Amino acid sequence: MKPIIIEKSQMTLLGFDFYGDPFQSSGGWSEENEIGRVWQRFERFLAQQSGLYENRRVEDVMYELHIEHEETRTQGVFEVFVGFEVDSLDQVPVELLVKILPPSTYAVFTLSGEQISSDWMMKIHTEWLPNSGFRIAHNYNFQLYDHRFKGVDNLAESSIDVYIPVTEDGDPS
Amino acid sequence: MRDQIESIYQAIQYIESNLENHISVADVADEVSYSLFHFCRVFNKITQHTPYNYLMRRRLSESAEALVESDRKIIDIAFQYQFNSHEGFSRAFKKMFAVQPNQWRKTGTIEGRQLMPRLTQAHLHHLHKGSYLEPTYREQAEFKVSGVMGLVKGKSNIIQDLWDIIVQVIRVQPEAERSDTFFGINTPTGEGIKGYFYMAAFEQHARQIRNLKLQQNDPCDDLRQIYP
Repeated sequence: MKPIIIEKSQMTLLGFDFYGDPFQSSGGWSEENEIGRVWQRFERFLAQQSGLYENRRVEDVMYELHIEHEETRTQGVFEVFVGFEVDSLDQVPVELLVKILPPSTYAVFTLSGEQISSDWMMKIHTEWLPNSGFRIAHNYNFQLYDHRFKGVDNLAESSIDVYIPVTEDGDPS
Repeated sequence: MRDQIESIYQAIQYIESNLENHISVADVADEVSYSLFHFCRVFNKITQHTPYNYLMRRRLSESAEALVESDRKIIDIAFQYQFNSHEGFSRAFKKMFAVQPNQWRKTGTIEGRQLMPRLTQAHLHHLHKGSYLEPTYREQAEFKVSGVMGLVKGKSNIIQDLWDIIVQVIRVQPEAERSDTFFGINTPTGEGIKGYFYMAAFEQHARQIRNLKLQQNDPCDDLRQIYP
């Protein structure tokens, strides 16, 4: 897996959030989990808005952000945020949460088809990171979904991008 | 899927051998070489529990047994199973078993169905038995069978009827020659005929063919009457 390395300035995202065990109530016989539910809640909310939110940066790009907290490693709880990027915080509906991502260098991996449902994070950590000259910079990562994503039932024809915040190894910061 | 079941079973074994040690979900993920997020997803898919939930319920179940099988202080048992305090342990215990640890101890018996047993490999495979079937392949030399055949359509009970006939045929075979190998043989029908042919049959050894005698009240007569 080979990424492209890009620099991004601060990002402002608006969306909905979940904190806890994403798979706690999977129900066993369906793909429903807390992450799916956040997406559905958010998409229903957007559908009810008259017109698209004006300050949205790019129309069909959505982000799924995973953030590690203190209990993440001990208990398997995560924060999962889904949303879109905006240029300003004017007139933000009160229902929406705001996430500010710091300026960062990112290693961007494009995943297609079966790769999307594989353990890509493990591959990134074992196959790319050790000899990359980079180390992990922050306790979050995100996936970018755009027109190349054809739905969970059609991963075979889909692509997404995974952004891993990195910094050059040996960089004192 | 099978690989996932194997990995998750390995994870369960690791959890089971560390019920009395301090381990994190990340430790278990590392043990089976999965990233943490992916591990949580796969563990739940395979076991229908989250890793942390499984760990806690197992610790509480083992401590429940310890409470009944010994007189040790509750706080000691709590520490043994990695709870930090009497209160924390009691709270978690009550949430799972609906009684306080000391009340549980007083009743003196363990209601088996309340405890969470260790998940076995058989259990995991059973949960997913519909998800994969891997056949083995075998070369079969030519062999002879005798039996009765019928047309299976819709919800008919004909298969049961066919086997009832075979049972009666076998019963009248001399014991020394009695067949012990049986086959249910499916054959597709021709175009335009719904259903399929099913033959309930027994393996026919050469000696048996020579000695086969049709008896009075040959069950096959009954068959011909039912299915002309």
